[in-house]
Amino acid sequence: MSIIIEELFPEVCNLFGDTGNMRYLKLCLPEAEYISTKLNDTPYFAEHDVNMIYMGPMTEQTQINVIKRLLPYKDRIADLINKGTIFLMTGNSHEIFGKSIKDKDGSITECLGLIDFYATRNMMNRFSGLILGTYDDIEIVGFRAQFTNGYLGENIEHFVNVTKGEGMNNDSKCEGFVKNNFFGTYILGPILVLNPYFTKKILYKLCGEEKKLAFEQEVIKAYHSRIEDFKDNHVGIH
Amino acid sequence: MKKPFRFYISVLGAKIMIKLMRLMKRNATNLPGEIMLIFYPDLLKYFDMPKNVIAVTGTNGKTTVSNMIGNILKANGYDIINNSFGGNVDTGIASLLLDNCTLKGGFKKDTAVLEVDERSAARVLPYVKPDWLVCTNLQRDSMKRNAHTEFIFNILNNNIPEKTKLILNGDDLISSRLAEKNPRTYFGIDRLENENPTLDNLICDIVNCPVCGNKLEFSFRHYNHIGRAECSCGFSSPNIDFDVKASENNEAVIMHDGKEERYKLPNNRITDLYNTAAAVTFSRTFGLSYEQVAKAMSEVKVVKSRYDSFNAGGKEVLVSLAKGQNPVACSGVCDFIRRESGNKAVIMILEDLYDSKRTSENIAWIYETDFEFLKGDDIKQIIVGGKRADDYMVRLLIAGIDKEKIVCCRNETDTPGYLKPELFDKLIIMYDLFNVESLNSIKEQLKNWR
Repeated sequence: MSIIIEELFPEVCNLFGDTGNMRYLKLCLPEAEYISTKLNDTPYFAEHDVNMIYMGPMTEQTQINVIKRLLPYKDRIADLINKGTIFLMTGNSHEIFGKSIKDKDGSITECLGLIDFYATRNMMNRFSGLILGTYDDIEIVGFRAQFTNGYLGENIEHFVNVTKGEGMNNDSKCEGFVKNNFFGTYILGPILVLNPYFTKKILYKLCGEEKKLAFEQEVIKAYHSRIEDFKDNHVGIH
Repeated sequence: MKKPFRFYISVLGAKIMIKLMRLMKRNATNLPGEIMLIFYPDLLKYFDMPKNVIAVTGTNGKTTVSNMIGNILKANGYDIINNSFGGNVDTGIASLLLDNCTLKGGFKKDTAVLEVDERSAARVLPYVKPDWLVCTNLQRDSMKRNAHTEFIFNILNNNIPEKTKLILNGDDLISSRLAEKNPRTYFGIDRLENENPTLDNLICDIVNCPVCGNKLEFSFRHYNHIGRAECSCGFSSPNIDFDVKASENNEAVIMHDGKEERYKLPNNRITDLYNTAAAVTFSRTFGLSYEQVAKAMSEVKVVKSRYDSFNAGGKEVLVSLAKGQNPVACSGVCDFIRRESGNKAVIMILEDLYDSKRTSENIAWIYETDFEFLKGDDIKQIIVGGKRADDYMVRLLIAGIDKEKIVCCRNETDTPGYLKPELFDKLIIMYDLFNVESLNSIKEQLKNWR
């Protein structure tokens, strides 16, 4: 049975080089079937089983449009999460699966409500920075650039234990969340290229066996170079 | 308007500071404004601005367009102040005004041409209240600072004064919708004969109709989202007032009111065609005649820091600013490189040294930059210099470029040492603004080529 990977709304959920994730995955796993669903299309997962769903960051207006688009499939998404389908949601895309986004102007965007998580947003305060941390036994590196802070409920696991940088909000050293195989993270951009061992984990979950990465030697060299850079005390977070 | 005492103190203090800084041979283009804005945050609103205030903003092209407009106006007898050598954020503009104003806050010169950083518009436009605002385009830029085009659009849209007349790019469905109640004149470039448009960019910042959300149908695109489109709901690109119909023999042919006008071009790149169209459209709408603008444009040169060319050891060397962390501008240079004839070598020094002094550069932007344009057989070598060399190696491999062609080294100034002159006829150097020092060192090394 072939592996099916669906990328949701890449024409609008692509703000920070995030489409690099799917381009890289295609090189790592050329035998898989890749489905690219546009915002005005019916998601493939609505009527078919898929092995992985990916979505990247988007503008604040697009978040509202995406919530509207996904709301009719809320129960189906819940089923897929419970079944262990892999979800990788980068940047602010994971906020859509939480409860709400509360804006500083008082407005509240109701989200899908599938994860015990909410975000607060202040469009006058953009913060950016690097993240170094661990997930399971591997080091995770990445970057954030966002207007929001995220807050997790008590019964949900976080994704990265942050060792350098900020977590999902200014008071937290926890970043993102994991529910079964759902990975939601504020880390944006080409997370799969920057984190070869995390990508290997994803590939193992998809294929049930170890897979060699595309350009593995070069990707691992760049990964170690970044970790060394991040660990340098002279390298600031912002 | 009655001015508070603090305003006069600010003007006097800044003028003393500027004099002292110049005596010490220091650049006074930002610091005086920065200090005086801390001392008096309302400072900008109390100047008696010159008779004509023209602001130029947008993601790409604003420096070139404001320089062009400044030159056209100067050539036609206007006495101008501008920030062509200074900062384009509120502190730079405050420094410019403090330096040039009288002690009472007025101006002897009749015209100000202000390049305004689009992200800083909220701290500039409501205070200086420009009579004219030229917006070149709104495109993806530094994710850290500018987030995305919707964010920048909202900043501009919420801060353009009601009476400001707009000169807008009608081929940009983002910026062309700014301040819809304000008077406006559109420039654009029609589908050009023999044009080979760039339709394979990784990013297009507007794909769905801003009114109904359905997919836009583009009748043509020049690059990224710059082109003309319509939607089944009736929404469409605006009618263009100054429409470039051809680019031939280094001239832009522009149709306006049914008549043909011809203007000299600094070069044939589509981005410079847009810059020329923006400057011409402003100047003609401002009231200058075709003859006045055409004569002034015949003398316009693009500053050497942006494009330069020279010969080294019998090879043609082209130097182009690529603006790191700006994927659209950088992709434009990659597109230019692939279109150049002959066998080519490329040196890239794109590291953001400003960022790398404080932190580790976020390299996500290189995954939305079209390095795929560099995979042609006629590109024989790509040499990347900088701390993020390992990242560029991965990115170029993912772009489909042969590993044998790529050299990545951590020191920018080492890059010429890896060139194999027997492989290429033309060398193209793409550099980030913060790498001018390394660029100059590379140029010096190349001058010694035999």
